Amino acid sequence: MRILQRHRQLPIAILGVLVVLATPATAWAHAFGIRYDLPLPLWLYLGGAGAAVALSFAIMAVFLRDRGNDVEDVSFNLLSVPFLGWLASPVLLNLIRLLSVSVFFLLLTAGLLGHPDPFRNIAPTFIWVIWWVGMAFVSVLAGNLWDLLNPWKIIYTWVAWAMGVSQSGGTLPRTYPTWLGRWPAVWFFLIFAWMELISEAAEQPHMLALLIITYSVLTWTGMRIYGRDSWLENCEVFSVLYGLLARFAIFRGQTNEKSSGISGGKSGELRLRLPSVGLLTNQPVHISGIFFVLLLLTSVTFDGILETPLWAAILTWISESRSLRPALLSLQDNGIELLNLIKTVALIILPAIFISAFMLTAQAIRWAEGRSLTILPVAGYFVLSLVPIAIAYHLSHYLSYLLIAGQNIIPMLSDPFGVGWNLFDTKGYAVDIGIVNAKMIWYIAVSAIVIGHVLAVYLAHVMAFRVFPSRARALRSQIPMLILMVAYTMVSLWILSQPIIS
Amino acid sequence: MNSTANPQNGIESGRESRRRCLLALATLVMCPMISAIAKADEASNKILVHRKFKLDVRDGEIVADIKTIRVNEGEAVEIIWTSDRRTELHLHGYNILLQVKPNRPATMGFLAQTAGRFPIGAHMFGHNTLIILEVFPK
Repeated sequence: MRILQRHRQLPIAILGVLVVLATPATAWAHAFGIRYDLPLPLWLYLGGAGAAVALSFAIMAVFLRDRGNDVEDVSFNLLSVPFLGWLASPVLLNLIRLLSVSVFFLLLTAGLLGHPDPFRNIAPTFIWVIWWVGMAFVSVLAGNLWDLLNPWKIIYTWVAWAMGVSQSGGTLPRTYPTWLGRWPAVWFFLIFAWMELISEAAEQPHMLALLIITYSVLTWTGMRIYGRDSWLENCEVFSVLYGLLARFAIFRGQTNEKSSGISGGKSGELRLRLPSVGLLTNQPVHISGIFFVLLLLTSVTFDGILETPLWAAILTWISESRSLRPALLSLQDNGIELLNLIKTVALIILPAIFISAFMLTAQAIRWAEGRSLTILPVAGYFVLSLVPIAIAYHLSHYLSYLLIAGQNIIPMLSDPFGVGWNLFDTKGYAVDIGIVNAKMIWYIAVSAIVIGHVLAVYLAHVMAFRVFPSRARALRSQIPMLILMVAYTMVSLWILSQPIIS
Repeated sequence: MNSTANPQNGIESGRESRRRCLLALATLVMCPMISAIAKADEASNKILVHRKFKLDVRDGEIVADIKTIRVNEGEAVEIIWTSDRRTELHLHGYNILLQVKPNRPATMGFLAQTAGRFPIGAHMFGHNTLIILEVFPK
């Protein structure tokens, strides 16, 4: 920003090109609401980075002696404990499902008929804060609850059962084409990320209702054609996303479909396991899955990057670039919002950078260990080990947002449609910003990222020992991976320590 | 500590119990002293630091080239605003609203009890951020 202070014309130039066209509604890069976090102080940033590097070497040293392979076997079925058996009772599960569907219809109604102001209608706060951000936290901590709560899955199952639609046989459902993999989910995620990070329209209740309807139609049609479970596993973007995050959790729940009706009996299992071991795999992830994971990593850091002075400098450079000016002006004349266009381009370039960096690392791993595998399986085996770092950053970036902006749900529950009700007498509730202060967030953020990094390095080592023919090769293969992870962790910490420019 | 029946231990336990009594007494005496020191410390912390700022808004922007005001947690902040137009100012987080009339200074006064980064916006055209208040933790 010193550049701006020296040349007085620059702020006006930028304003002229960009701010005039930016929607006056919000001045923040964020989807909805504000974060009150302070940037990490330098000593904490450096301390965290140092700790991450030091602990990485400690883990490598551990693996010099030990294979650490049976971590997945350390698990325990909570439902075998007598007084916890009720957790799986069909009555409870169906009550929860009913609650989820009710909330679904409440949000749809609020979006269609409620007040159009996003700050007086329950839909934007619930969807963007409680659900989009909150469900990620829940998945990471409590496991794949989305599988239980998914309203699209529930409604389809109940309607299909009521209408006597068969789940197999006949011309429908068709077999899902394996070559398609998770590409539909990748595309949906890109669109969703764009709406969350760039578009301001998705804050509007009416727009949210339309999006819900569109997505519901697409989802239910897809389920009808390819079968409910195939669709959920490959194309239903939230199932893929929250399923991926839930692999980190210490809880792993499975419902037994047959007894999810009225017949009672044991409804599944709820296993307790070590954190992050769900990200270990015996099969390499399909290339579409690799892209999905890397797109997730990118979208998580994207929001933070848009607030850094680096991004502001990029925007400055673009706005004063002589070569780009005619193209930009003609686009502007055709009604395109330049700032959103530039951000959209960034949303495509950043994943490309992440994917290239990862593929280069995969190639380096191959080179280091002697090429016993080709590049796609290497990428497919190791991509999941990066997830703990993304989770840690996501938690750090959004924790205060969830706890502060999330409190708005309390008054909103009393007046979901913004028409002046006070159902639960919470209308006058004032958000308490002291619930978690900036210093606490700093310490949680750095601890989370260091722990995430340590888990990531650990997972990658376990995978290397599983996948490469000899111990020596496995250890050598981890050097490129370690470099990538340290770089990724540094970038995450760096973003958190940057002065925030809105 | 093990104690076996032993005449020597009778003397030892006598010394022991005296030692314990003295320790207990010392603790009892220390407690009010510690609490007095603690209270004195609190009292010194209770000396309120006042911070005053003067900001002038013209054409929807702050005249001086300041983007951020920095204060420390626990300080009493006073921002004196002047504006060329009728404006409603909003300090986010603390959720303080202030009406400013043209050329009449208005004061925004509050205790910065929560650390964080809080934008101050003007409800003129949408929600332009005028300046950021940064409250640094202790």
